[in-house]
Amino acid sequence: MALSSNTGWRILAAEETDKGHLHGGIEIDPEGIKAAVIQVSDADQGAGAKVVFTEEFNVALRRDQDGRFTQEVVKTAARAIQEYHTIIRQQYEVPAQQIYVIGSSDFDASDLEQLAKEVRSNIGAGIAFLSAESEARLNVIGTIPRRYKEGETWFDNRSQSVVIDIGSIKTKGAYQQYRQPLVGAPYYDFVAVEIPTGIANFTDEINRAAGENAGVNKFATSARALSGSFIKAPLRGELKRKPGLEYRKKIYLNGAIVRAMMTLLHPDDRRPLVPLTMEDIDVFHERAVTSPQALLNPNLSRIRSDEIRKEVEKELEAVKISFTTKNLIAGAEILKSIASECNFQEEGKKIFYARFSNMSLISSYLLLRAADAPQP
Amino acid sequence: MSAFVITTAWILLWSGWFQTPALTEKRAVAGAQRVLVSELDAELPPRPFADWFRQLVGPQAGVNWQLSECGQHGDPGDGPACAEVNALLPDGRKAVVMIAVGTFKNGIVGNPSFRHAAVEQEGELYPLRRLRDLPDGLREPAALKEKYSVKLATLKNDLQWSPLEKNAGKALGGASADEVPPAPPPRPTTTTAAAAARPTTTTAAPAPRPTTTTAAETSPPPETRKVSEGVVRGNATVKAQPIYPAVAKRMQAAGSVQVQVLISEEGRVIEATAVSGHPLLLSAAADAARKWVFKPTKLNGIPVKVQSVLTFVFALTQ
Repeated sequence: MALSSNTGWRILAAEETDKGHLHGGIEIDPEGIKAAVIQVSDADQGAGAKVVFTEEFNVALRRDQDGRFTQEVVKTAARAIQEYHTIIRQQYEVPAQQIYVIGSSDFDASDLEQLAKEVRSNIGAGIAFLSAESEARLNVIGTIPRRYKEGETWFDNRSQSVVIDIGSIKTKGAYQQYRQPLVGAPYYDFVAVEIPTGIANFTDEINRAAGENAGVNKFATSARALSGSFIKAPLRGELKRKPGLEYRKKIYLNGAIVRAMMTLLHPDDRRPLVPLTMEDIDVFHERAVTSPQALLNPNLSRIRSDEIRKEVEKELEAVKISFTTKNLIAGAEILKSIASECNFQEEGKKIFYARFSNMSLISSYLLLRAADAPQP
Repeated sequence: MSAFVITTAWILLWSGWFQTPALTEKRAVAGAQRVLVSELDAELPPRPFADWFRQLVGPQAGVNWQLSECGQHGDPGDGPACAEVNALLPDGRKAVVMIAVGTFKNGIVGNPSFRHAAVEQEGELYPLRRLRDLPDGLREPAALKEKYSVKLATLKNDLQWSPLEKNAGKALGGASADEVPPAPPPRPTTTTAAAAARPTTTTAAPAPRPTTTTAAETSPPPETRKVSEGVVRGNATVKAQPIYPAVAKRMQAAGSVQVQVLISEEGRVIEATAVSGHPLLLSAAADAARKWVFKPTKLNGIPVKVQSVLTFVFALTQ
């Protein structure tokens, strides 16, 4: 029997799926562990696929003072991966050779050597660590729709779009660029953009500069002052070499701060792609630096549907747990700085919050692997 | 006379008369749209490129113009800039033409010139070295098949979303009229142990916890009073107990979790951050701490904010 959710996604029950066409994956990144199972509908013709199962397990992967992951973190992560592997194997009956474990490009193999060893001994599979370029490709595929329609006409979407993900320790961007070398084959290049500033490490920097006892005002002033060197300068460097980031007309934003912004400003808009404006970013920033507590407590009474209100309350709770007021200010400053450097305000630009893009990496990885895999 | 010439030249220089026009998308695209096709390829007619291209792809194709990169991956510094036009045809084929206009750093340089073009058809990319090859490539798809091509990654359809009803797509909306949402992760079909352990739902924010301890976690702001756990517990009027995450139980995760709390003048928890304990238990403890309510703490009769720590013990019972 197919189950359904109230948002309209059709979810396949385990018994409904053809096991040979199922592919499962587990992703580990600095914000936690995600798992997904997809069903490939037609691999010969290019891997059209349905998402069967997704789960996200937030666990802060903390490092010790030497920058290494603590034993506790490694053990927890290894056990969680094993749990997900068991669910994917037993509940969805995905063949073992079609289950993959990937590591975000935020890590390198030496970072998680011990975890990789534990995972291998637990489930018999290693962790494939992605390069920044591979990750860019997967993010583009998983987040940006291929095409869009205006009136009766379809337009290519990816050639005019960029995805920007504001994470906890990095901010990443990606876009697809057609290239044709003077000698050699043409190709779609997936350009990866990265600055080493995310919400958590920017919060730390501001704390260092403003002093540990800084109140909201002083913290916000320092955030603004530091945005030049920690966000705008590295971003300008990237923009010079990767101008697509600035010129693309459609911007797909994701990351915890964007999710928080949309939950706090537009909690009732449940669309998978929610349009937002520069005004939203400005209002969010203004409220974060002047009245963060009020911002964190939006009035939900205007949401008429009980079901949606409950869903929003859960999201709001998650935002409150995840963000201190200082995290919120730091994140709002990053968002505003990126918007100004990348000229979001330019006429004709459209900005979207990609609600499900947190699963884009693992889902599109599975899709690509499914296309390569021998068919049953 | 010579003084006049020198002064005029100086004024012209100063006013930017001899400077290269700045590269703006509007200017670059307008230049490429206006250029005669015959200037891009001598064998083609003397018509504005935009008109010629539109006629070629047909009125039903979705045509988009933009400023784009036309150099190679990783070009350092000043890469070449192109006006790019791409068209998505009703049959799914795609045509792209790059017209060189200058460089991103130096601005618009010289007249627009043909850089390269391609047709994407049935998962293959057909490069066209001359603009005159584009009409044939589009008119006769079969002819292209005899040409050199590059097979794209076998990824035609991407992830599909399957709305329950015909109207589901409309109800969900999407960003603009007919935006096709990619990869829609569903909610879990059943509540699994891992789901129960998850501190947030699939769509909830991943925790952007600081990598190191932040000031907010270590010392109170000036107007805040630090109070011991014993005192603060004594003032509690509502004590919520944490929910033991199922997956944490399965993984035998136990022990105490310390949650740093900031309590408002009214006695409500404003901030709750788990600062130590098993990673699987942190969220559950912080969740519970947020629900605690306290009697207001007063300093010289004036209510003040209070910072303290609450410890929650998770014990496995048989």
